[in-house]
Amino acid sequence: METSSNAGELPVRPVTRYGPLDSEPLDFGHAQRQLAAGRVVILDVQPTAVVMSDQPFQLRVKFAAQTPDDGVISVVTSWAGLPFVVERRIDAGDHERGYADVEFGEDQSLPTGRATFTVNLITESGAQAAFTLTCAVLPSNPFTLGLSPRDNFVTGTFSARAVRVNSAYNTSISVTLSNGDAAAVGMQQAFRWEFWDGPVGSGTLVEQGTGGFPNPITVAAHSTWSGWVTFTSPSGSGIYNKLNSKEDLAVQITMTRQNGQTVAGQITVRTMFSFGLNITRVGAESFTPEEYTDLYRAVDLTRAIYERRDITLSVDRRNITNAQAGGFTVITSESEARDLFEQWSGPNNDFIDVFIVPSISGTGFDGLAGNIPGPTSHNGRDSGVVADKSGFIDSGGIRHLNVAYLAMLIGHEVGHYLGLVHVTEPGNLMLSSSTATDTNLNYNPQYRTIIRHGWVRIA
Amino acid sequence: MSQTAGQEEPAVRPSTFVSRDDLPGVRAREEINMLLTAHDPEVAKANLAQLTERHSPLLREIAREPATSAVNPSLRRNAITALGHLVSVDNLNLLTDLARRDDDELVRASALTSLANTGLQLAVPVLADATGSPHPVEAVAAQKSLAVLTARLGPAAVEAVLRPEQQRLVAQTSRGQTAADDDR
Repeated sequence: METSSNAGELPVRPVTRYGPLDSEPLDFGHAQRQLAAGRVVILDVQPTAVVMSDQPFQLRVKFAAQTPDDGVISVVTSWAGLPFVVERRIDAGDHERGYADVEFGEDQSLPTGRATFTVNLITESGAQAAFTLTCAVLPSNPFTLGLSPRDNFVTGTFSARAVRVNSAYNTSISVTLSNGDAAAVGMQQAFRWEFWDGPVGSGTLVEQGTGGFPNPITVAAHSTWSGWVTFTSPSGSGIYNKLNSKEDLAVQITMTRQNGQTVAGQITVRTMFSFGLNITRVGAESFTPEEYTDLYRAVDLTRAIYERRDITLSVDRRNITNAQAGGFTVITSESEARDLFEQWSGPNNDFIDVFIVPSISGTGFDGLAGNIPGPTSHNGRDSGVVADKSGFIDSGGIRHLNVAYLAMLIGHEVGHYLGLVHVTEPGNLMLSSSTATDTNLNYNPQYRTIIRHGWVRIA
Repeated sequence: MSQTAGQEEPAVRPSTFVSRDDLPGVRAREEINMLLTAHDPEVAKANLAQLTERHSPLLREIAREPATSAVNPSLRRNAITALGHLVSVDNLNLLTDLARRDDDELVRASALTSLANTGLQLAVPVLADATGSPHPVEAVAAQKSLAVLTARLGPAAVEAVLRPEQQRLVAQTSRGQTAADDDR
């Protein structure tokens, strides 16, 4: 039995508006008409030039305010490494120009890949505005092939997950060609893949093969092209045997430019510890279709947060109707949250119950875990976590969920259920007041604590 | 599981911060942001206890700030909660305005709950009106809030400030209906 591959391509995205969760730029006139006294609004954030790897760059923050107060722009950068912060002050001159440039020095330059900038502007009047932008950092060298876990839209470098499905392991990865040159690059559709036990080139070659993308590939100047490849390794194949023995593998994919030059990228493939979540919408009819979509994008993002630490999760989608939920659509106390766990926890699938409620009101908290750690049964008042759905209405009047925030919030409460306590480590998911950019988990003690929970298994 | 799983440490870059020494307004906002960002009950309780009347002007501003995809959603919700614990004319006027007129059903629901937490009889008519909302979450919030006030003030005190058509609602909500139907 041998491993086979299947491949496809993904939509092309502009390199300076690269993220699915990016903020929409605002029209200056429209924003000015809506500005109340003391308010400030960020109209747009863009790099002053394409962001190139290992080179300094600037972000231009365009804003409008009723009064020209001094203030601070703070940019949290999420990238392959730990998030970091770059700040600058603003004054009357910046107000007059309508923008301020935030400088990223040489020691804050970024590698090829994606980077998400979460920009906050606070002025002396106490007004605050925020904006999120993702850019593709293009290679200075100037053409690369990068591999990442399939369908992950967070920044970061982590392993691809091998998932056992019946008598095979499936491994899905994204392939990104990044062109930092001013000329387009034509590529051959075929690719070669190799799975290695140990380092690529010096370990043991486990399996190799070829595949092809369905359409001709041209990577435009200063742009990216993305595709996906799924490998199916049936029982008896070399890859299956290695993964089934819980060994890590390295996969390399090599593609060829039309001029004959080759380009390659690699990533670690491994099985992971896994747990399950019963994601339960409480008051299902109170979730709009957009909120439903946003909820599961958030859960995908929660999975990516954990997979960065080599732990994955499965999801069972569940719901409770408004009529069934009664007063549980609005949680107003810890006791009510525990009533919800007591009355609705289950089914008995050894998954953690995650109740997403339309509103937690009047309490000051937006989530709760039944216990630290939570029980490995669906009985009693400790079995479950609850989170406010964290919604908002967009500029078009459509109700959405704040995907990045909700992903963090679910991850935080589930972290408690898995045994994690609050920490003070900057950027950590388990900060008592973690924000959407605080998503890191450490190896010791957090990873080592999680894998000891009774509902965490080897996938 | 492999020997190295979970152990790879991410790369780091240095941060660059600016001084807030001569920016008291920025510092005040950052302090209040921290107090309004709590995920869990024990932290929330401690944070709310630190908010006093001196925070009210900024809390009112935050309670009016429109939400976007980039804004921490807990700030506005918890500012509304905090205003319910800091009873003043300005705070009550804002809560009433949000409960009656905000575009977002969930903001109205939060404001209704906060009004009930004030324990003031004045909140009763606002809550009673909202019990008939066509928006289910708002209606549930109003019903539960009215039940809270009824339990706290007594049915007579509540009925005294209701119009006749609203008194029927009090009779319904005071029976309580917060238990979930467990027939799934």
